[in-house]
Amino acid sequence: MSEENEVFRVLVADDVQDLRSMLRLALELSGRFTVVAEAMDGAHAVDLAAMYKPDLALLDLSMPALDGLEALPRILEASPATKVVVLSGFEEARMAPVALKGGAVAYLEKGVPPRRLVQTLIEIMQPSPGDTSVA
Amino acid sequence: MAVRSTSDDPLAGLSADELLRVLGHEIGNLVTIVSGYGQMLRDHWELLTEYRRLDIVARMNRQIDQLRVLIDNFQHLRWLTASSQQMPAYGSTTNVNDLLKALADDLAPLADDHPLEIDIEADLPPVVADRAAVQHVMMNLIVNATKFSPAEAPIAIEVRQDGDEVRVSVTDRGEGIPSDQRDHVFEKFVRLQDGGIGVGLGLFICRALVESLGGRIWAGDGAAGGACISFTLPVSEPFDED
Repeated sequence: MSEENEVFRVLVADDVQDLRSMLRLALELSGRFTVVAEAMDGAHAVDLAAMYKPDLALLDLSMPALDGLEALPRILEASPATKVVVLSGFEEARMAPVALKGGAVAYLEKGVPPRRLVQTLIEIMQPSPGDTSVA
Repeated sequence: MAVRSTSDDPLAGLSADELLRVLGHEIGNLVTIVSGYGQMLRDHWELLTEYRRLDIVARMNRQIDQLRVLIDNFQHLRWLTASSQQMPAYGSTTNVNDLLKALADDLAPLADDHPLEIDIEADLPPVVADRAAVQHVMMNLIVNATKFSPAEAPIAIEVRQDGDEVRVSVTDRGEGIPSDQRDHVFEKFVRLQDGGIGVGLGLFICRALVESLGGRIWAGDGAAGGACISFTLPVSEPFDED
């Protein structure tokens, strides 16, 4: 498989099952992502990251057991190669600096149209030559 | 923001800031899901099979139903506050078999990919019930069960006569409710843990509605694990009569 057609393995972590299902469909319809695991809380996300070593983790912040900011460094410790993108209902201006400082490669607000979400994630996973920016 | 504490205050035990945060999270997620599916339908219409399109529409409708339950809970909360914490008792003699079988059609879409395993004892006696109240209770219990169940895990609804009551039990396959929190979950704005799912109002409203009909509600263990929420409706006539 050529690099351009690489299908990236994703972990989706959100406490709302219906939201995880919607994100799974959006990602898989693109043909560029396959969801290998879904976590319902932060502690579950850390366990699944260690187990599946996904290429990408979509991480909510407001979750029971372990919130996203607490789970973030543990996910990176469990699976250092995983790129973590925070997808949260909190305003970007308020929480993005904290998430990026914690090791996330990008911060997206929930409500971003699926097409733009997918495009942004493709750019993160497969940056153009010379492109060093993040979303 | 000060934490309110007076017992007749609808926000008792919860700061307005926290309520707005929880509501924002809950409603924001519902809107995000509906909007996301709508955009996927628009963007991928030609690629989607008719089955998949209908499935997406059903998922959108489910979110709208959940939003309606949430709004109804707040309307009931407002009513409770305005009327000294008593629900109106609209109970009348009702054929519980017919009522619950009819409600099952309304509940199935809310259960989404969780199969409903419905087991209703035949020929139950008439009970004191109000269709709208029982429907609202059942919708809350099903929404709760789906939130705490693993994907595609069945949700069991069992209806039995227990003496001069009819008991309705809804059992999920989630992690259950710790025994020391089972009474607590029927209090206002209580969630099992910080950052937990939902607003924490559904079971409080369920208790008020059930008690207004003369019944009881409690939490226990499911036979196959998970939480089992049961409520009763009083038999409307002595059950030794025909």
